[in-house]
Amino acid sequence: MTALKIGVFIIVMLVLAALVSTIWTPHDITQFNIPGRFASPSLEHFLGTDQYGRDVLSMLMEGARTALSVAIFAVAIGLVIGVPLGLLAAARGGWLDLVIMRGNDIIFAFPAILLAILFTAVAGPGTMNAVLAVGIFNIPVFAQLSRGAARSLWQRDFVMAAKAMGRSDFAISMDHIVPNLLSLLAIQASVQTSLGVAAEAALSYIGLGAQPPVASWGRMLSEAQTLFGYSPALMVWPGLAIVLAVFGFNLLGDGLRSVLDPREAA
Amino acid sequence: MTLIVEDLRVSSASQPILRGISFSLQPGQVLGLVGESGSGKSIALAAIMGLLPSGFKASGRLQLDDKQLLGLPEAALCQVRGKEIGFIFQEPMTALNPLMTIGDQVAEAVAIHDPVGDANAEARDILRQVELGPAIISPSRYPHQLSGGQRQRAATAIAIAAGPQLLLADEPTTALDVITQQGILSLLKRQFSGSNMAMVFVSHDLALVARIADTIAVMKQGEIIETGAADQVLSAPKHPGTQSLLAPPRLAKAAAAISPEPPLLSVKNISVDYGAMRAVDGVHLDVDAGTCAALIGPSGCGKSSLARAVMALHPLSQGEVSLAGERFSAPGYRPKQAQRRDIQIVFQDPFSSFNPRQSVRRILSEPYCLRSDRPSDSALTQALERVGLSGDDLERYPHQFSGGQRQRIAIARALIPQPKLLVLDEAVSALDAPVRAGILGLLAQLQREERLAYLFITHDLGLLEGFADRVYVMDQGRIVESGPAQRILSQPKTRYTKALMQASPHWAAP
Repeated sequence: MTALKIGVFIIVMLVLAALVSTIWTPHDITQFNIPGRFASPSLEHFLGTDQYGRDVLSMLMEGARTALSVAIFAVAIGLVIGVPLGLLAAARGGWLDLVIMRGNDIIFAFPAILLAILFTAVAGPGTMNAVLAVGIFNIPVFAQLSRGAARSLWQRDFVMAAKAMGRSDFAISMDHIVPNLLSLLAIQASVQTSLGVAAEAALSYIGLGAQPPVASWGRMLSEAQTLFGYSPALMVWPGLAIVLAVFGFNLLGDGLRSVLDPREAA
Repeated sequence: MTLIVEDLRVSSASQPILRGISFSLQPGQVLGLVGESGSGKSIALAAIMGLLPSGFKASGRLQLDDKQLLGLPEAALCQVRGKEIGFIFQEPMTALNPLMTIGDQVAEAVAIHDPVGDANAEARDILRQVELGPAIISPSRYPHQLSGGQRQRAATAIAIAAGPQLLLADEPTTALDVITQQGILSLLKRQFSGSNMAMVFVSHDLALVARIADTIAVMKQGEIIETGAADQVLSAPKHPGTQSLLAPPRLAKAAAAISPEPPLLSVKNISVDYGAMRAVDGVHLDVDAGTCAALIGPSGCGKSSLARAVMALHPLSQGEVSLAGERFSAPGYRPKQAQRRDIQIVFQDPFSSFNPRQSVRRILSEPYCLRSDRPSDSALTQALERVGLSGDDLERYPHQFSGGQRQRIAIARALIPQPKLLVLDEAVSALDAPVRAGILGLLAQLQREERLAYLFITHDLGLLEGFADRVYVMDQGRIVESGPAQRILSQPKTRYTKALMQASPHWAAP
C-alpha cells in the first residue's frame, strides 16, 4: 500500500509539472542569457542555470512533458494494437495464433533500444518518431500478455456457457475476456510507461529523440556530460528526474499488482 | 496424543461463527465432523491449526496433550504444525508445489522436522506406505504427472512425513470420484491400524464419513447438534438436521412414457481428440424427449469431453451429433445459431460458471441473444423465481451467493433459451446433501412441467436411482455398458459397473 501511495505521489507531481509547463514555466527556455550562465541555485533560479543561461527548473518541467508524452503515447500504441492482436490470437487459435505470436517473437528477438535507434536513425529524429520507435516494442508485450491471460479465460466455464449460447468470438471477447484482463493491463501499462521514460531519455541522449528547442531530460544529460568537470550539478538534476520517474511508475505497477492481483500480494 | 476442545468459540466482527463446540479425541481415534456447507466445520479445523483468517477471534480451550494451543505465539505454533499436527486438504493440486517432484516434497517435509538422517530414504518409505512406492510410481514425477487419487496420496504422504500424532483432513476425498475415494479411505484407515495417530475427518457427506470414523459429530450453524458412535448416528439419527444430511439424494421422477418418436439427441459413433490423446472413442448415445439419460464413469473417463462435443464446443474427429432430427455437429460442421436454442449446459463448478464481473441481471440477459425478445425486468424476475430465487437478487454478483444458489442461477440461465435438452455436467456433485436434494427436486419439477430432457453426467451412481431412464457407463473414452436404468442398477453386467456401484456411498446394496 505504501508503495502505491509513494508511486502515485511521484507520478502526480510529474504530471502536474508537465501540465503546468504547457502554459507557464518560471523562465522562457528559448531565451539565452549568456551573462547569467552557470548560475548557482537562487530565488530567481531555484536549480540554477545551464551553459546558455537557461533556467534548469523550467527545462526539467518541459522535459517531464516530453518524457511522459512519449512514454504514454507509446503505451497507448501498444494497448491499441497489441491487445486486439492478443485477443484475436487467443480467440481463433490455429494458424492465426501462430502467425501473430511468431510476429511477436521476431520483434522480441531484437534488443528493443537498438531497433529504436535504427528506426529513428532511418525515419529521422524527433518526438513523433521516438513515440513510434518505443511504441512498436510495446505491441508484442501487450499482445503476449493478453493472449496468455485470454487463453486461460477461454477455458473457463462461463465462456463455455456463452459459446453454448452461440455468442460470437468478438462478443465473448468484449463481454467476458476484456473486463477480466483490465487489472492485468493496468499493471503492465504502468511498468511499460517506466520503460518508455527510460527509452525516451536514451534516444534523446544520443540525439535521436526530441529536437531543440524542445527540452528533454536525455539531451540535458548529454549536454551536461561535457561540462561535468565544470558544473556537475547540471548532470545531477536531469539524472534525478529520470530515476524518480522510472521509480515512480514501477512503484505504481507493484502497488497495483498487490491491490488488484491478490495472488501476488501474499 | 489427546486433543481436547472445550467451548471453542470463533467470531468475526462480533458475528458468532462457532457457538461453543466441545469434543475430545483419544489416540487411535477418528472423529468425523459432518455438516452442510457453512456449518463451521472448516473454521473449526482452522482454529485448531491456528490458521484463522485475520479478523477472526477464537476463545475457549484447545488442548493438545499438555499444550494449550489458543494464544500460543506463531513461532511455537510452527513447531506444532506439521510435526504434531498434519493436514490434508480438499484439493491436492493446490496443496502440492507444481515445480517440485513428489519425492523431494516428501523429503522436504521429513527434513524440516528431522534435519539429521537420510531424508530421501525416509521419503521413499513414506511414499511406499501410501502406495506410491518406486515400484508403482517414480518419486521423480511432478504433481501434474499424477492422477487425482495419486496426488491426494502424495499430499497424505507429506502430511504424515513428520510423524504427526494428529491428522486433520478437510474434505480430502470430495474432489475425487467414488472409486478413487474408496482407495484413499482405505489408505487412511490402514494408517491408523496399530498407530497412536488420531484424526479429525471433515466432510459434508455423512455416509462417507461413517466408513472411516469411530465417532461422528454433526454440526449445524456453528454448533454440534449430535454426537455419537458412527454406526449409531448413521442408523438412528436423532436430530432432524442429521436426518436431512442422510436423506437420500435421489428423487421419485415423473413416469416418462417411452415415446415412439425419434430420439431428441442422437450421438452416432463420435470420437474426440485432444492432440494425440483420444478422449472419446466411438460413442453412441440417444436421449429421448422428456427423459433423463445418465452418463456415469470415473473422473478422467471422457465424460466432460463427450459433453463438450455434444454441445459442439469442441470439434469432432469423427461421427455425428444430431438434435431434433437435424445435424448439429460433425467434423467440419458448426451448428447454426438457431439450433443452439435447443440444447444448453450446466457445469459442475458453480464458482467458475459466471463471469465474476457481471451482475445476475447481465448474466441472465446474455442468453437472450438466442431469443427474439429483449430481457425485461419481469421476465428476469420470473426466471429467478422459477428456480427458487427472488427478483431482488438481480443486482447482486455471483460471489454473494452460496454454491447451491449459484447452481440455481446457472440453471435459470440455461433455461432462458427454452431448450429441449439440458446437459448437466456433474451439476450437483459439488453440493452437499440437502442442497443437492433441492436442486434435484427442481430438475424433476422442470422435467414434469416443461418436458425437458436431461443428459445427466455424474460419477456417483447413487444419485441416479429413480431419476434416470437410461444409463450409459463410460470408461476410458468408451461406453462399456448401456441400457434401461432399472436393469443396469439391478443387474449390472460388467465388472466395472459393479465396482462403481459398490464404491458409491449412497448406494444401498440390492
